Formats: sequence, C-alpha cells, structure tokens
Amino acid sequence: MSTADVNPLAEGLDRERVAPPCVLVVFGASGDLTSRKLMPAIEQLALKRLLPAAFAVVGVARTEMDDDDFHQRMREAVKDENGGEEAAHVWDQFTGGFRYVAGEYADKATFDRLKEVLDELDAQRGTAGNRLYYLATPPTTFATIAAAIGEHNLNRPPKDKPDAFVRFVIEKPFGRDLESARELDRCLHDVFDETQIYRIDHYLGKETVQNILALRFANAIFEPLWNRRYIDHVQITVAESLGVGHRGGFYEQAGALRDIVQNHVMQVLAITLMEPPATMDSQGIRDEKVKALRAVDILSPDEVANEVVRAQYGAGWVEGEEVKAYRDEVDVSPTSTTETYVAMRLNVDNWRWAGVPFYIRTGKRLPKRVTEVALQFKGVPHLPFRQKQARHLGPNQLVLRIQPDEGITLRIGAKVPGQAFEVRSVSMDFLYGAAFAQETSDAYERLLLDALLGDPTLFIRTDEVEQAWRIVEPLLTAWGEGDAPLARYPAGAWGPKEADRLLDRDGRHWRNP
Amino acid sequence: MTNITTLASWEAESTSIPEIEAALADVRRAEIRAAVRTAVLTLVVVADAGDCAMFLETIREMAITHPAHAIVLVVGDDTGESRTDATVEVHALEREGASVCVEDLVLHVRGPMVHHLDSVVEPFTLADLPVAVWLPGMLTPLSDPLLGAADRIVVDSKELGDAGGLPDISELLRRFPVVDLSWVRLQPWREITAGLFEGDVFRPFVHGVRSATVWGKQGPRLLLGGWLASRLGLEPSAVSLVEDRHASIRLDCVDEASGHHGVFRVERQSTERLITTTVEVDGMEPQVRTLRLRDRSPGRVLGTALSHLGHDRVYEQAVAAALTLAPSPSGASAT
Repeated sequence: MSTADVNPLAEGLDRERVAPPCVLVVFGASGDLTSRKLMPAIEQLALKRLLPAAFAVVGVARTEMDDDDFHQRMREAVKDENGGEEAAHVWDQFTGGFRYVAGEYADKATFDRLKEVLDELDAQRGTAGNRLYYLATPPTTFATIAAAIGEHNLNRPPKDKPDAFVRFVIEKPFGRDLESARELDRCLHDVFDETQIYRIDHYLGKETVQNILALRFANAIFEPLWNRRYIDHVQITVAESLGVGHRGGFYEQAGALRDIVQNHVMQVLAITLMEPPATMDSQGIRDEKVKALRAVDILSPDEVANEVVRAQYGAGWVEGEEVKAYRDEVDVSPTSTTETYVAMRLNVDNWRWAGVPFYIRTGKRLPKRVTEVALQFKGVPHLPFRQKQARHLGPNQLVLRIQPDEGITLRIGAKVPGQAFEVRSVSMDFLYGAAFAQETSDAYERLLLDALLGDPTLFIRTDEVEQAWRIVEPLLTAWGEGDAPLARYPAGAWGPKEADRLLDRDGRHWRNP
Repeated sequence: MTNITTLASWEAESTSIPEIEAALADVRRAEIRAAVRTAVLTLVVVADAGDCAMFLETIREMAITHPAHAIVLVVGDDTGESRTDATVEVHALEREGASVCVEDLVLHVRGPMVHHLDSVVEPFTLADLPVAVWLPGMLTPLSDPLLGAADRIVVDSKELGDAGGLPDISELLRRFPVVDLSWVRLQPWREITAGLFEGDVFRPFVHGVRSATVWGKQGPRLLLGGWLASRLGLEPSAVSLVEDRHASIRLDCVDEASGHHGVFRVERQSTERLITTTVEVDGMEPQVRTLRLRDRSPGRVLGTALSHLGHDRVYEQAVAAALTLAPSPSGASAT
C-alpha cells in the first residue's frame, strides 16, 4: 500500500469494520423483506456510523414511485422506537439521499436508467464505482436480474475504476432441488465470478452459531473429545413454536425439509462436523464445511423409509394458546400432505465420526422455540459405584444452545453432599449473556456489513449449496413418489411417536430441550 | 437502564486484609449467583470519600459490558497508625435481560500505609488479569508504588485543570501506558473526521491539508488540535484553536493531483447528540450528512478506555503536539 493510499487520521482507530464507499442497489425495494429486514439493518449500521460518507442506496422495483415516494416509504419502514428523535433525524437525513428506479426486471430500460443513476452517484457522492446488488426478490427473478446486470456491463467495475468491487447478494432458497440449484448457479456464473456471489443464510449471521466455532477451536479441552471415541451420538434440534402464519402459500411449496433442513440445519451440522480449519478465513472455514458435508452418508430409498420421519401438526395447545391444525391455516390446502416436521438419522463416513449417529429434528408448533446441538458422551468404561449410588447418574452431555438463552450446558456427575456416597448428574450452565452483556448485532446487520466489506466467510459457497442438496435430494425423490407416510403430531408436542421410535430402537431417546 | 440488586454485603472498621479476604469468601458463598462472578480485569480507583459513590456507579455501569473487580481506595492522611475500614458488596446487574454479577471493595486507608498502597491492593487483585489504576481527580507522584502495580493508568485530562494537565500527563506517558478519558470521549470526532477521507475520491485531500481549525473547550480542542497536527504533519501555525461550547473541526485541503480545493467539516451545533458533516469539493455537489453520537455515559467511556491495554502511540503523539499548541505559561496563545 502506498503512502497515498493510507489515511493518516485513521491510524489507531478501530475502523476495520467500517464499510468502504459503495452504492447498495436493492432489487425488490418496495417489498416486505426490504422494509422488515434490510432497511432496519441499514438504519442500525448508519446509527453506529459503520457506513461511510460516500454511501448511497438505490431501490429498484416494479412499483411506480419517484425518489420522494421511496424516501417516504423507507422512513416509514423503520420506526426505531428505542432510538428517539435523534435516530429518526439521522434516518430521515440518510434516506434523503436514496434514489429509486421503477421498472420491470426484464425490461432493458430499467437497467439503462439504473446505469445512469449509478454513474451520477459515482460523480456526485464519490462512491468510486463500488456496487453491492442485493436481491430482496423472489428466487424466480434471480436469473433474470443477473442476466440483465450482465447485459448492461454492470457486473464488472466501470472501466475508469478497475479496482472497484461488484458483489451480488441473494437469499435462500437456492433452488428447489439439486438440479434447479445447479441451473441457478449456471445462470449466475454466466454473469458473475463465484467470488462476487454472496448467498445469505441468516442463521450464519447469528452470534451463537459463530460461537460454536469459538468453542470448538479456541478451547483445548473440547476438541480432543469431539470424535467417535468419546461421543455416543449428537442431536440437533431446530424447534419453532410458531405455525406457518401468513406464509401458508410459500410453506405449502417448501415444507420443513426445504425451509429449514436444507439450509439452517445443514449449516449447523457442517459447523459441528467440520475439522479445524488452518485459518479462520472464508476459504479455510468453507473448505472444511464442504468436506464435512461431503462425508455425510447419502440415504438409500430404504433408509429414507426407515430413518426419516415426516409429519404434520394437528390442532393443539402451544405456550398456553389453543392453535389450529396446519391444514386449517390460511392458504393451506385442507388435504395438504406438506411436512411441518422432519426427524432423521444421519451417518457420517469419515475418520472422526464413523459410527456416531446424528439425530436431526425440526418442526413447527413444537412446545417452544429452541435451536441446540447436544453432544452425548459415552459412559465411563467401568462405573466403580454400586447401582444404588449411581442411579441418578446419566452420561455426560455438552449442549450448545443457539437460541434463545444462548450458552453452553455441560452435564457432569457430582457427589451429592452428605454421609452417603451418591453421585448424580448436575448441569453447569454458561450463559453468553452473563459473561458478555453486550448487545449483539442482528444477523442481517452483520451479514450486510460483511458483504459490504467483502468478507464471504459467513456466506454459503456454491459447493456448500450443492452438498446440502445432495444430502436432502434422496428424501425429496422418495417423498415425490407420493407414498411416503405422513405422521401426525398435536401442536405443542415434541413431534410424532414415530420420531421417538427412531431413537428408541437405537436404545436412545430425544432430550427435552 | 441497569438494575442493580445487592446480593450480599459486609463492612468493618479498623479491619485487616485477612479479615477482608475472609469476608469476600463469605459473601460469595451467601448467594448462588455471586458464586459465578465475571471480571476481565482489576480496576483500582483512588477516590475522595465524597466521590466514592459516583465512581462506584460508573464502575457498575461499565460492568454490564466490561465486568471488573473494583477496588476503591479512599486515601486519608498519613499520620497516626495505619488503619483500614472496609466495605464489601456483591451485586447482580441486569439490563435488557442480560445479567452479570460483580463485587466491589471500598477501602478507607490512612496512616503510613497510604505510601504503600500497592501492598494493600495486591492481595485483592485477580490472578493473571490486568490491573488498571484510575486516578480521576489528580495525578499521584511518579514515584508512587501504586503506579508500578498497574498495567494501565487511567486519567481524565478534562479534570486536571484548564490546560488539561497535559504537561503532567506527558511526564506520566514516558513511564506508563496511559489512557485519557477525555481522549476516549473525543473518539467519535476522530472517527468521523477520518471517515470523511475514505475512498479514492476523497483520500487525496487528506494528504493536502493546508489548515485546520478546531472549536471547543480548551482541553478537548487542544487534544484534537494536537491529534490533527501530529497525524497530518501540520505546523502549529496551521492549526487554529477557537473557544466554543462544542467541539467542531474544519479542514481546508487541496488535492495536489487535480488542484481541486476541498473543505471538510465536522460540527456539533447544539446540545443534541447529533453531528453534521459537510464536504465541499470543487466540481461536486456539497455533501451533508447527519450522524448520531453514541451513548457516551461515564461507564461506557471507562469501558472503552479499558478495552485496550498498552501504549497508545497516536495519543502520545497528540499530547506531544498539543503541548506545542497550548497557551504559554504567560497566557499568550501559540496560535
């Protein structure tokens, strides 16, 4: 770096996490995702002064609006009730610089106009040709928008700014199956290099998912035990107490397998399985995640029938409220066979995990919202206590709670105080909140800033997407044949009896989180 | 809003270090939450009796993000026999659902032991964690052994007289790592000013600053002026310091390559926590932005100050440059 590139005023200031000059182009700017997630994230970054002076937002959508309408809409989208008048003032002033381009994504004129606006902003605002395209649009538009960006040469830096960056952000789902995911990638790679593509799974933006990496690779006491020699089995639970709400139409097409297992669960699984990376950078971590997913055994049709349970919730009670059955939800067919619950047993064919079953379950309308990874250790080789002395002693268990109450619980055996020698299991709880009471950033805020900074570590690479689809593809195939049984569970239960039997026959049982 | 619940407490007059240690163990056992305390450093505060409650409040506020094992020393005169009165308290601090347990220890010491405060503090410091010594109101002599026990000295130049006590701090800096709370409070101005020059378009102007004007109260404007002079290599004659209620900065610059002039301003115009930045560059539309100052409560400032230990070279150079800008002892300003 030459002296001219250095900002002497920045020396000694912790400004590594301040975004560089850039135009953020939001496709789907009039939509729900932009208002609910993206704009609040931008507002927080602005309030925390993590966006540079040379920063601009351009909204693109079909809705007819001018710049003023867009400003007004974005102001109304973010009502920071905790921020007070000062936050409102900052946001009002910030949105005043937003621009808007109305038009169809398949219309050349839309992108002609976008190009003009981007050139104007570079000249007026000093945004230096840097672009971040964020697609807050349905997945069906991804290929169309990418192609139009390419046709207008907006996928590469302007000729007079060869060092500028151009990045393209899309949200899950990345395809509906392996083939459609590959087709989407082919379309994107026609226009962008893989290094330009940032695939968001907001689960990876959660502080506590990243904490699994810290727990595993910053502590010498856990990693030596993190293998088949000491671990009996692993349970991954992603439970939601909510039903499908207003997303019935979407959920009918997706189901729990596509909505949760293919992405969130596979990411948590990969982080649990992976080998220590040589470096904690994007390539080091993502290479190891891909290797880990590649080692997951693909289920045969017989195994899908025997080791996977799909189910749907009926009416019941959750958190003190009576709730209706899935089939009675809005925009859901009364004869729907869409699964709202999946449980399965996976095996991993590698040196570290051979023979250790991974039990995975996810569902809606379960008793509470909880995401956790529970590692159950093997028993001691010989228990030197009489049966009566150890009747309340269970195996050691390490539970990584991702949400809520983020933390770690270690279940150990301890002597019960008193004259008799009795041992029983006790839990040592560590709450992240109790040690670091700092506010954590929203996942979108974190990921948006990472994309602006060009750090792809927490984004999903194309080969990760492919490996995740490879694992769930046999389930989609088997279920697509139409004769897969659909179990039922009452809302408020931890799933159907069939899921319990999945573990019963292995002599194990689900833990109650 | 932090809620404080006192879980256990103990106090005694004319007590001894072993008795205090035993009392600490007792209060930790008294309440299950107190058994899981959190601390990232030991913070020793040398306070006047009247300010003790205020400093404890600041430390507890800091503890929610930067938990410290606090020892407050209220130092009496050195006559008569050595004597220690002590108060020990364990608190649960809760904010927005998060909770931490911290303990604080207030020691009133007098007699000859006031010259050996390091020996009073040492038994209570946490093993293998850094020790910070906070001198809020006045600087102790460089020979004070308490300074030798510290990994970092915390001062507040704003509290050390009109010229910010900069000559004394400069002496202290030669021997110890020092953090100045006044410098920490100015961090937003430094961050925002530096941020104006990010990117290829504006970066060249930072290498062509012709003059700087800093408004504010004397201590802060001296530090900001010293910072600009040292970072940008400005002669004292190129830095103007102007008395004002709030800190503001104006930099007049030239991009040597294009010959374009630029004016970069960071202004706080009211008592609101809002800052306006303005960039006016030849050939471009003026850019005006409003930014919010973060919460800079005393606890937050102290927490920020203690988040990095070791020497702050930028601060040290700013102090050195500020001394060249400071009014001479006769009262005539250098600028």
